[in-house]
Amino acid sequence: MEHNSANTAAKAAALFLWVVVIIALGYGVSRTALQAAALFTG
Amino acid sequence: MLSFLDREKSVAPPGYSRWFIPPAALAVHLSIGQVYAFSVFKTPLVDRFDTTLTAIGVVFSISIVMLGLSAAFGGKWVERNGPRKAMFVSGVCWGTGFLVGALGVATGQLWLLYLGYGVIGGIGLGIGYISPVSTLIKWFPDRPGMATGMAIMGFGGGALIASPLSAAMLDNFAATPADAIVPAFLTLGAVYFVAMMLGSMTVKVPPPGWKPEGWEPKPTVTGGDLTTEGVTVERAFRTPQFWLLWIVLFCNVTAGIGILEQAAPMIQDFFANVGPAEAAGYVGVLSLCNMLGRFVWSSTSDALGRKRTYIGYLGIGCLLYLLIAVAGTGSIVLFVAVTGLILSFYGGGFATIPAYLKDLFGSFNVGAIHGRLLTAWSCAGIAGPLIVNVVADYQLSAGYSGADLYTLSLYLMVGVMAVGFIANMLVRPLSKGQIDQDEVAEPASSHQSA
Repeated sequence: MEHNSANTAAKAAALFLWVVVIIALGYGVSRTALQAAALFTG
Repeated sequence: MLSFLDREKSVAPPGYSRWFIPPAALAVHLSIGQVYAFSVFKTPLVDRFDTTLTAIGVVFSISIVMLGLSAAFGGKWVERNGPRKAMFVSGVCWGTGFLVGALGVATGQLWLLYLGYGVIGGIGLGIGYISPVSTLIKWFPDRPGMATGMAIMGFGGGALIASPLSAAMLDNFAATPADAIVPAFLTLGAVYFVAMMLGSMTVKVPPPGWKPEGWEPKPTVTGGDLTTEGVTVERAFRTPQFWLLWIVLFCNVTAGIGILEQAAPMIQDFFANVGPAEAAGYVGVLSLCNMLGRFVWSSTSDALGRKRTYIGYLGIGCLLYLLIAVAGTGSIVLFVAVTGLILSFYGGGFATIPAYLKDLFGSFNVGAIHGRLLTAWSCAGIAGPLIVNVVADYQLSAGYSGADLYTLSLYLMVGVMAVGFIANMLVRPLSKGQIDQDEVAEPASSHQSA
């Protein structure tokens, strides 16, 4: 039972990390893309 | 006391999905990737310490040198102790680096910044860089290029996140950027520490004998299985294959730096109508190409094969450099597309090399061997800018201007790529005589002692 709850916690943490990572990457890529747009609109 | 960090405590239970592992690796690489956004702090640090760009530039150089040294010498420790302990140590070093660096800035002691961000942070960089690679390859032996591409894409992505974030902190945390450095460093250190601890706690190694359903490893020339065995670091270090790959990585990185080091001034010299804002936009395009290349080309190498992929990086890269040298001023669209492709190959070269090492030397010591190979990155980090800047100074003193300032360095990079191309063509699988069964390493789990 204890083993199962530890695994559940690990999976939940991993899923949380996926969300954080995707949001962080999305932030970085979108901010850089906005900066990159200056090359074509500037 | 810290036994929860031991490798044995991080073995995944049966049925654990391997797709829970990449975010742990990404959390670490996105954090340590901040190092390539260090330049955001350069001018505020110059103002804060009332010193020169060179004196502040040394901070970054120390961190990269320490990255190379700790990856090279810490690789075996990482393999023995497992990814959880390695990521933990990396997170502690990386976070502490910011803390000690902030103390140096607050007290006006530059040596503390060298020690903190440079030395301690640099150790965190090296250990963190290699810590998830071996584990990902073991979880994804059928797709090692995609797996390492995901992690190492994180290193490129880390700078894309840290750059605007750091700029925003410097603008908002205090009246002047120089006064905002300390709270910014403390914030970054805390955030990265938490992210890397989360990564450390969630990473798991596959159970002994685990392999993806329906997948069978290819046997070695000795009939053995390099995915359950693995050539020792010492043995790999003595093979021509290791040194040929060292040359391959050195050349690919040097050539990429040939663009990176001078991207903003170069596009303004090639095209008179491009100003500083557009040049900054161009640097953004290159950053995106660098990051995407890490994942896309490395994943492609699973289908194409590693050697063919590097034929692309170095062979096509060589021709692309020639194209810029000969016709770079003809069209800005062509210039951006060609240099963007070169930078994607630069990123792809970093991300694909662990899978190449795994193909040649097996999975179980790939992290340690990768760590040794990263000395090529350290050397390229010195050679690349040196070539570019020395040539630029020489061309300036010779009276060249505009696009002509870069012609010689572009042709030099064609040569560098050609050398790397030849080295790659000479790579062969290990022969029976090179895989001495006495020196074939046992799986790392059998190295654990009480």
